Amino acid sequence: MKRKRQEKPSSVLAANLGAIHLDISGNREVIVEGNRGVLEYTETSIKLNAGKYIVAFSGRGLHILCISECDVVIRGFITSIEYLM
Amino acid sequence: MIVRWMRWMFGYTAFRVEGKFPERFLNLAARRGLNLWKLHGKEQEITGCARTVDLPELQQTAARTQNRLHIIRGHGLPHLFRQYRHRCGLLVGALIFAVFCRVMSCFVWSIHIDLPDMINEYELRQLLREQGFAEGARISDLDIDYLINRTAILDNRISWMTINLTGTNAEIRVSPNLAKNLVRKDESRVSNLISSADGTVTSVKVRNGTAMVKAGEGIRKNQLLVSAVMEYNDGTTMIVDSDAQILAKTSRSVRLSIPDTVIRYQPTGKTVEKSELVFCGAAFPLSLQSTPEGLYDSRLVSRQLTLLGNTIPVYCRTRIYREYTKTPVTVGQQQAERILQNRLSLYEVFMLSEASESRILQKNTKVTKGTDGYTLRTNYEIEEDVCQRTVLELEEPEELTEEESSEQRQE
Repeated sequence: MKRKRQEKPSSVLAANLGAIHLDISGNREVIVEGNRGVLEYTETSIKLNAGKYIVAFSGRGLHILCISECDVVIRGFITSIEYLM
Repeated sequence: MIVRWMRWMFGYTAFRVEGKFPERFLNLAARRGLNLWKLHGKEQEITGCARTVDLPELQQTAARTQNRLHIIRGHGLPHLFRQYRHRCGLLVGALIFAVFCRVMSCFVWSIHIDLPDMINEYELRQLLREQGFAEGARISDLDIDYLINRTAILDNRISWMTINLTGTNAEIRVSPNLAKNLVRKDESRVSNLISSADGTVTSVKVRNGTAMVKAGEGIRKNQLLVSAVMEYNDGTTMIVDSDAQILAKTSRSVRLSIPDTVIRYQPTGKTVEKSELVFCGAAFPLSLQSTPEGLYDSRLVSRQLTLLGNTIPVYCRTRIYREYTKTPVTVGQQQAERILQNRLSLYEVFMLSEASESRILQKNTKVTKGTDGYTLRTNYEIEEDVCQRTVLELEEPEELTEEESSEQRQE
């Protein structure tokens, strides 16, 4: 049975601005809301599609803790976050 | 914690996705609402976990994104059941054990009593057993308050008592009744006091009744000392329960003898132990030893076992046999005298008990040797309480009719 697609992103801000929302805890964990897909996934680099741009996380031991339709939780040792247009 | 527990309850699977673009698999799976966690990515390979029920959809997703899905391992309760589905005996055994523990917890298995020295533990346990409180009694059938009150009434040495039930353990605490006169008097009893021996009265103390003798008088055995009939100055008479202490000088002689050859039993030092486990009335032997033959004495030691500090309804009973040898020994004069004196001392201790307030005034001892052995003869002059109670049986007066009672009045 096909599941119903979730229409709205979980973040209110993201819903209003159509932007991705990042919740960063130090440099060890990031909760990303409004994610539209994973473009690259390795231990040193994770790139997410944010719609108008790409968010790139660089570091060591990066892994996705859990992933749902719109949200991603990334853990690891994050050294940089870049917005790529 | 709850999320982890829920995942384990419903079961989850660890998987590995291989392909050129495993990220596509992630995106499609996420878009389909499939929850994935513990994801680790390497080059062209992603490992993670997902719910077991989502596995068919994951396989479809992997096929659609041109990736290969490999199942690493299943976790959780459904996988456990599948793993042990041919070993249902384990589950049945676990259920039986759980039911057994539940049933056994409805009974009392350990009774610990904390009581003072003046009350015998064995007697108290017997008393409680007669009222249905013993090891193996069902907890729901016990009325603790009634039990406590009834026990205190039946044994007047108990001042107060408490029974605490903790699981299958019962803790009983007893406080003694320190009142001096614990002997119940029968209020309806009437009695005389007669002499228990011949002698000469030295002291008369009458608490109830009429004294029939004085100090200095000679008395015979079974002579009336205190009468139950009391006459008052106003002419009325009453029949009472006599109570008095009358001390008299009496004579007593004792004869003790011992053969010149006695059999002495000496332990050889050899012991044999036979143990068994007792559970629910059934005994399971722990040793293959048989009962030894020969001259042995035995004693039984019973010990209740504990598990992690808690007493369990399992007892270890050990019967210890000690071997003896019989040796005939010839008794010499001095040894015989010593043995006879020891026996005489024991006799004197029992004869001169605190209750009778007796004391020895004079003692004359002589040891003689005969053909059978040695004989000790002792003549005592003792001052003791010679009162002996005889209960009077009184007939119930017949009820008079009105005519008879009026005739009596006229007379």
